[in-house]
Amino acid sequence: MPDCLPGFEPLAGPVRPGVVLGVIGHDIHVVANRILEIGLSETGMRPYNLGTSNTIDDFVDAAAETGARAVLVSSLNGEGEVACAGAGDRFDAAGLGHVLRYAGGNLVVGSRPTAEVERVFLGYGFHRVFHQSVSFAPVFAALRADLLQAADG
Amino acid sequence: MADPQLAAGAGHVDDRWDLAAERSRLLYEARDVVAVELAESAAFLAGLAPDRFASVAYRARPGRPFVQPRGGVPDLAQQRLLTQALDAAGADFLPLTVDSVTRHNDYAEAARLLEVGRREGRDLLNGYPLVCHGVEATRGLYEGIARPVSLRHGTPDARLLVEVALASGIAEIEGGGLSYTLPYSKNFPLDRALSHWQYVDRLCAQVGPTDRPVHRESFGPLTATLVPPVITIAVQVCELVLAAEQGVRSFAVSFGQSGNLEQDLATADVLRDQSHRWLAHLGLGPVELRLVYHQWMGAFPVEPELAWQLIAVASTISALVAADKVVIKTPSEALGIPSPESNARSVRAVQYVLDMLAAPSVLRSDAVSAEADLIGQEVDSVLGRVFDHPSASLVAAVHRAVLDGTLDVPFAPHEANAGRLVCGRSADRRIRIVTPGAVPIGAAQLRRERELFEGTAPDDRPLWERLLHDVRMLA
Repeated sequence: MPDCLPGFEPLAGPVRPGVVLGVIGHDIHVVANRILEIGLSETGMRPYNLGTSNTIDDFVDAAAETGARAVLVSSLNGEGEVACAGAGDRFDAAGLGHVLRYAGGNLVVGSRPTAEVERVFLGYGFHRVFHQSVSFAPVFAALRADLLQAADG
Repeated sequence: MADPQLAAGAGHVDDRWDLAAERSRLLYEARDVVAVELAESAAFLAGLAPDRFASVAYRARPGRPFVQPRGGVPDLAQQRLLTQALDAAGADFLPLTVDSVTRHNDYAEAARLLEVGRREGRDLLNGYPLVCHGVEATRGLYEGIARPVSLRHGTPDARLLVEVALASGIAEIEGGGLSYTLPYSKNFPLDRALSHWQYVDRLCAQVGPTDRPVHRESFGPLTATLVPPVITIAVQVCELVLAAEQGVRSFAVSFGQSGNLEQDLATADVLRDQSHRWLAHLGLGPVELRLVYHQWMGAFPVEPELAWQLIAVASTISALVAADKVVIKTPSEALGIPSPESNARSVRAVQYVLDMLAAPSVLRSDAVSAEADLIGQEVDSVLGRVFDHPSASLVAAVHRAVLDGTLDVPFAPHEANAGRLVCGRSADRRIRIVTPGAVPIGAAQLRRERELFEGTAPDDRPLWERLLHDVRMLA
């Protein structure tokens, strides 16, 4: 695996921030998930990849077990709309309300306005939503900014 | 030399387990799902016309690859119409593609979705639920049809499915313990899948008439996402020798269009050569060996005019590698499951291209030879590691090779797959190894791979961006 890219040197502290990622639901679309893992490494993170076929509780457990500072929940077949409901509450209940939560992919079945999809997932307790984003670049930039801000605050 | 436990000499067949006992138990346990009589398949296949056997067709290749479309729909009458349309269009081999619920052995759910779909007048399954329809109905699909039928699925435990297929007169079975598990399942136990495929192989070997054996085919494209030739070839050879060990005598290895002509030509050469070499080395066979080429398995362009070009180039390459069969795509690939008309048009278009390229000799050049040398050395190293290990059996050696990452399929969702091998695409669109993980690639070969990856045109985009771009290279 290549070292960090310029501009993505490790954030302050002895270890890179842990990030849990995975695909939710009965969804075997694994290609983007693997590429996202590689990208997280390249941008100074420490990825913990759950792969496919996960529930929200799998993400909660993984965040607890790894001490990760963020979770990236993907859905490619649209099951996310059902499977992600109440995500924020599950993290709060586990005492992990401070963990950053992003959702991305093809988050709902059929075509719906992005603004509407974002509203639904923000309502579930996600901090950022990347519905049908064509690149990972905005995800990596936002993650870095949010983690830096969390470190300052 | 091969471990004497692995191979006991030419014509050796694995005698460590008893198919008849396992068949009785399986068919008894499945008696409420589907009725298959133990002796029925052999009797039916013995009476089946020779032109229904892939193994027989392959012996008289017509100077161009045979053409096979893909296709399976849930409804029996619709499947019959599709079969007739493809037959009328001149498809040399007819497909029977099975739905993904049946692939996961959930026959009750497949039956329920078939019934609900029938009531509501729409398709809720993405293929033909073969086990639900059963033997009599499926035999009826092919009445009056004089072509081989090929079973296409993606099933880690295909024992019952193949029992029904053989009893229905389907005499070509695709798949294998690696190629139908690692890309298709997250957690079906790999050791069980491998042993279920030994059942399938042995069954295929035993139920067909001796002069018209049931034909087996492996699935080389795997995840079809940056899989380097060495992995495709290693997996193909593993499934070939595992099948031969169970007595299979007609087998096709396969691979998918890589995106680079010269790499495809080299892959075909090495795949043929290594297949023969390892059969001989392990004392297995004789096997009538065939080569199958899959047209581009990645994301397809939406525009029909671009999709047709891709299909034409893929057809050309299938002729230039002298494939025995080409499995084709349609211009509606990017949009979903193709209509019978679209499928039939594609069959005619591919044959149109192939007829322009009648019986070419396999193309070779210095560039192809250099590529083939590199791939061949890598395969030597990987398969050497797989088969020289002192395992109790071939299947144990193959299982161990996946667990320790010797065999590593990029982007496979299976939890036993190491997922540490990372490949990229060079400027000339060849698939190159960037990080081998635990795949035993020699230092010289790895250096060469990296030179070829970076050498042609340095690319300073991050790896993730290059990979993401690659997934949609031809779309």
